[in-house]
Amino acid sequence: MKRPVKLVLVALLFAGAGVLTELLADTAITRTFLGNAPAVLPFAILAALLCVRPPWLMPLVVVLHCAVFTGAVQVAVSLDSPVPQINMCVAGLAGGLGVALATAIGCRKLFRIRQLALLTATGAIAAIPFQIGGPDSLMPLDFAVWQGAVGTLLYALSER
Amino acid sequence: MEYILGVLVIALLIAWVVLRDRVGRLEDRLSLSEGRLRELEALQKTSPVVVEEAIEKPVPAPIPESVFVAREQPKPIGPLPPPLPAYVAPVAPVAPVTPPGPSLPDRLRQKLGNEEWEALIGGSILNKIGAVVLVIGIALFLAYSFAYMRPAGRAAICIAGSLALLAAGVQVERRAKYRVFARGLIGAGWAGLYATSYAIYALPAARIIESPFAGSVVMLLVAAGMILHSLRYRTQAVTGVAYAAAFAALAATPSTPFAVVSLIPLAASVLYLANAFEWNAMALFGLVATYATCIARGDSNAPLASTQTLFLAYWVLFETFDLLRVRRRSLSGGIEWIFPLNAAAFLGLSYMAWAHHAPERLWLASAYAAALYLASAIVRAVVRPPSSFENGERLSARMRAGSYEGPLLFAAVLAALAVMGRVTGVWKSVGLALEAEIIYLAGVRFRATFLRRLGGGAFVVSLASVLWRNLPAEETSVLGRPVWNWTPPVLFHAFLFYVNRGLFRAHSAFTYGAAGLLMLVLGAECPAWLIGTAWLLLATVLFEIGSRTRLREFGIQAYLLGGSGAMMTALAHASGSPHRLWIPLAASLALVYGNVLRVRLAKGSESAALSTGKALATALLAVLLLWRTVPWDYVALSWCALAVVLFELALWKLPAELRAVSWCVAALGGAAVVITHADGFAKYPADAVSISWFGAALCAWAFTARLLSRREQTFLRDVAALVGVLFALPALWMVTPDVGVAVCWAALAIVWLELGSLLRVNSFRWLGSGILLPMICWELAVNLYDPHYRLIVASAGIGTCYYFWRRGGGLRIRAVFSLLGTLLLTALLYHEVSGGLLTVACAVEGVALLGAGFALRERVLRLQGLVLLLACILKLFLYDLRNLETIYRILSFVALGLILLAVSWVYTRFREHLRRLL
Repeated sequence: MKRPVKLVLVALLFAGAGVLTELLADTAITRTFLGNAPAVLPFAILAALLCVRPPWLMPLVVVLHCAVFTGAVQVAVSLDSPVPQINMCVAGLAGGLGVALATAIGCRKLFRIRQLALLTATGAIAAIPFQIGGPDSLMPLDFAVWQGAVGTLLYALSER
Repeated sequence: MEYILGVLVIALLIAWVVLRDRVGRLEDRLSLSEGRLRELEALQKTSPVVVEEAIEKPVPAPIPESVFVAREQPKPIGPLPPPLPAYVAPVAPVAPVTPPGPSLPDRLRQKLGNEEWEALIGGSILNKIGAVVLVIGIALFLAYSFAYMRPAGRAAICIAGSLALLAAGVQVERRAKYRVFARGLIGAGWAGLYATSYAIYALPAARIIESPFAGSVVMLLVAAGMILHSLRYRTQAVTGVAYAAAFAALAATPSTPFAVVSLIPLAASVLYLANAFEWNAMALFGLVATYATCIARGDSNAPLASTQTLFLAYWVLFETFDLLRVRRRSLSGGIEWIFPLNAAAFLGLSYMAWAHHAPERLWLASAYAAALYLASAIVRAVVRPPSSFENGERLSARMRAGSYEGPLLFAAVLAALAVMGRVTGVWKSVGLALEAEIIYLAGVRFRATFLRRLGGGAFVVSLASVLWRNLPAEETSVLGRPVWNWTPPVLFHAFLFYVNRGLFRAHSAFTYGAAGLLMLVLGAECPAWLIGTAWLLLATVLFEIGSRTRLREFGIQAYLLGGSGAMMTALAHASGSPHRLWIPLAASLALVYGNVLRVRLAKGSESAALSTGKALATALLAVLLLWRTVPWDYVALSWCALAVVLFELALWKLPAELRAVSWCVAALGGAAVVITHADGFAKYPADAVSISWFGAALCAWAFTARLLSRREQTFLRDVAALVGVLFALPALWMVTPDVGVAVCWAALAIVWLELGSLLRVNSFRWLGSGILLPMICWELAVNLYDPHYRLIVASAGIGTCYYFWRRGGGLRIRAVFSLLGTLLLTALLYHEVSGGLLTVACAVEGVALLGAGFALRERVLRLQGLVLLLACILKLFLYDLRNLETIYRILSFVALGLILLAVSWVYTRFREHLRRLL
């Protein structure tokens, strides 16, 4: 199968994981690690299965992804910028960097400045559509966009 | 009362354990004896000499005694009992002849360890019964309230008595002879102590401890003493009884928090001993007792976190033990039940706790439990990697051995429950599908067949849930278009199936499943008249994918879908879809025939069955399309024309299988022409009728022409020509006035005759000749009765006959043609000449025929002339003589006489010439 087609399929997979993340996320307990873990597990497991090379590192990467997600949510809710997109952008940046670093444990190719910067920037940009608590929020789509973008980039960089 | 019953149960339990040990030993002895007997019998059968040697010498390798002792007492600390007679008894000499079997009393005695039954009852059974009765007495004493002694006094007496029994038992047990008796005393002593420890805080009559906690501690201390003492014997059963007492103590204590927390160290100690001594049955007992005690305590209204932490601790304990046994690869004593029982109890208790405290977050509990079992699966995969199992080992055997599959299955189910609990609507199915995808992906990543199968099974469950929850279906709106609720998730499943096949080279079953799902969606979402076309479109796409990727499965799917699509299109449009909706039908036809051309132009090869199928589908759809588009009166004709087109395509091999199909279509068209215009079959019909008949004839002749040009299939060519004539004759009759019918038919006959001559095709000549028959019949039956035109028409007919006679081939056929001409001429004379001159006219005709026969040297003509003259003579005498007027009678006789004389003269005069002619 040609690489572009493969990437499109992977992007759709990660987007599906993003939809599931939103559906599983419990707003009442998202500030805790244990509260976030079930929601982010689909993305984390998918990323570990597709990008992490030694199998024994996969559980660690999954746990770290859950932690990163928790941290990013904390960042998003604690920032007090009048422009909500900025909050989300910073949280996405943190999330992108965290996800890149966590995955890099199991995939040394990602452990380069350029790759990390790319993933971080993608995380930040892909988080702009988020509007936590907004009346017209399309959260399933927001998470789908973020996880689809970051996950696909992770896969592309780790496969190269 | 409950107290006494409890004590009684404990006493009976102790007695049962002791007796069970006894019976176990007896069974071992019996099996040993039987084994040795079988060995000796075998020796005796193989060689008498060997048997004799065996009798003289000791058995070379007897089963060591220690083996049997170790089963009962693995590491005996105290003095061992004297060796039992059955173990050390010398081998009895084997008699040459097999002795009769032992009698019933002997066998019973042997079973009881060669002890007399009286000694057994007196020394062992009575001992146990005595111990039980004594313990009951102690209990009754404690429960009885009387004025002379306070509770402390009664408790002190009981404790003293129990300790005395215990001390006596320990002391006496050192002597081997009194060992059985001593154990009875020990059991009674501990039972008495245990009953007393319970009574001093639980029974009002003996209560000296008010605090439940303190009372529980005392009971546990006694139980701990029992356990420690039991370890001296290292017997699983005895230690198990002691632990049963400990668990019973925790079950009886009124302090619930203390009881449930104390279960942790107690269970840990059980598992420690079970792990150290491989007492697997005791571990299982510990698990059951722990959870049973916990359940018996009921709900303590503790916070959810505390309750769940406690359950988690239990689970971790038993799971750890199970992991240790997996690493040890132990598989005895029902140890494999630890995992499922632990899971069932943990999950059940957790469910009850969450359902009581936070029912809205049950999904979270499921998610956590799934994570736990996922972790367990990972650890198991490390402890007992899949490579440690033999290839082809069954899944059930692997799961019993503690492989990772069991926990993973639990994790998958729990994760699915979490998704279903949390997510609503159609997203449930999406979530389940994603979970299945992740499982499958893990199977691909780790090359684990089980995971891949589990993923596949999860997909099935997910799909089943889609349909189960959404039937009867409701509609929802997607991009402004109403669709069934289940359509998006089903499409998502299909997408995942293709992802698996494309990205991870999954089994081809995935693409079959995806194609089936797409087919289902198209079938549900499209109107009936469009379903077939949609399926054909999908089949075309799959066919293209298959030809590009060279994956055979896509081709098969395309053919299956295409066949279904063509059939569906045919059914939908044959069952009365609106006339205007011909576009889907045309599109279907284009898709089917486009596929035919695609294969042909790509020079691909297909099986004959497939090509024939496509040809059939093409023809079927084309027939339906014409039926739906062409005016009804011309449908049959259009089918005939279609047959010609199909035949032409077949001749170009686009594809060749269309040839047979075209014949079928032609037959259909011909039959349709006859049937559809049966009502309009009349003289001067509507244009459609005559055009259809003429058209059918032309189509048939088109077949003839093409076959003629290729010089092949002569039989079919001739059949087509005949069919064309059969259509042309009625068509000519319809449009031509009666007077011209015979002329037209005659022209047609001449045309075929000339064609046959020109192309040297005899069958065409015969065909032309065949046309003469209906022509003659028509003239005889119709034209000769028309006084205005009969002369002209009959002349044309006679001329045609003589034309055929001149152009005809063989002698016989020429004779037939001349005969027909003569017949027609005679009939004409019959109609034209009045009755009186008829005989004369016929005689003249006969003379003319004779003359022509002489001139043309045609004997047939001459014979016809003679026959005609003979007929005239007969008529003259049989008819004219009676019926004609006199003048005509005279004229007839005279004329005929002269003619006959003249003929006779000619024959006489030219006898020599005639002889040569003959």
